[in-house]
Amino acid sequence: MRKIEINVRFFGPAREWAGRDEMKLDAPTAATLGAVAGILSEKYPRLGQAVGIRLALNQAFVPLSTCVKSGDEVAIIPPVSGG
Amino acid sequence: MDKIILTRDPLDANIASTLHRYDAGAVATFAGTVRAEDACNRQLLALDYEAYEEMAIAMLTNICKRAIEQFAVLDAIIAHRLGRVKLGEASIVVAVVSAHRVEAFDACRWIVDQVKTDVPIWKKDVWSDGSTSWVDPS
Repeated sequence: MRKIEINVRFFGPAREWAGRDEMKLDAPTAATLGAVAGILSEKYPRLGQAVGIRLALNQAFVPLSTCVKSGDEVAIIPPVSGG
Repeated sequence: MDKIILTRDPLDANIASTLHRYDAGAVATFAGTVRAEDACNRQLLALDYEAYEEMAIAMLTNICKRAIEQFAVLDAIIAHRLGRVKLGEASIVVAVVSAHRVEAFDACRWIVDQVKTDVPIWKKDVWSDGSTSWVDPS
C-alpha cells in the first residue's frame, strides 16, 4: 500500500503525553484527519485518553473527515489556556 | 507597528498610543496579570507560556479583524507574552480605540474572551517547590 508522510507537532501538555515536540508520521494514502488521530492515539495511549484535544491541519481547524496529503502539518491542540 | 504581538519581552500597557488614532474618543485597555496563588503549601512564582505561534498569530489577526467589524471600532491591538511571566507582570494586553466608550469596552472584553477560549496558547504553573503543572482551563 502506498503511504504518505505528514508532519505532526505536539503542543502544551500533549508534548509531554507524546514525549516529543514533533515527528514524521506515515499514513495510508487518502487518510483523513480522523484516521491520523486514530494512528496517533494508538501510538501514544495517553494522548488517546486525553479530553478535549483538537487537531489542526495546516494551522486551521477543519472537519476530521478532511483528507490529508504528503507534507501536511497536523498539530495536536489540547484545551487552550492563554490570557 | 504590528497589531498582533507575541513576545518574550515585558508588555507595554500603553500600546494603544502606538496606533496614533487621533479620531478616537475612547481607548479601552485590558491587562491580564499573573496572580499569586497558594496550593498544598507551595506558592506560585510564575507562569510559563507557549504557543503554536504561526496559528496563534493567524487566529489573533482574525479576532482583531472581526472585533473591528462587529463592534464598529476604529482599531485594536493584541499583545501576548510567551515564556516565563512573573507575578504581577502582564501576560496579555488588549487595547481598542473607538469614537465612543461603549464600543471600546465591549470590543475589548470580547477580544479577551476569544483569546482565552480559542487561540493555541498554553500556560504552566511554576511553583516554589520547583514543580510545574499545566493549567487546566476547564
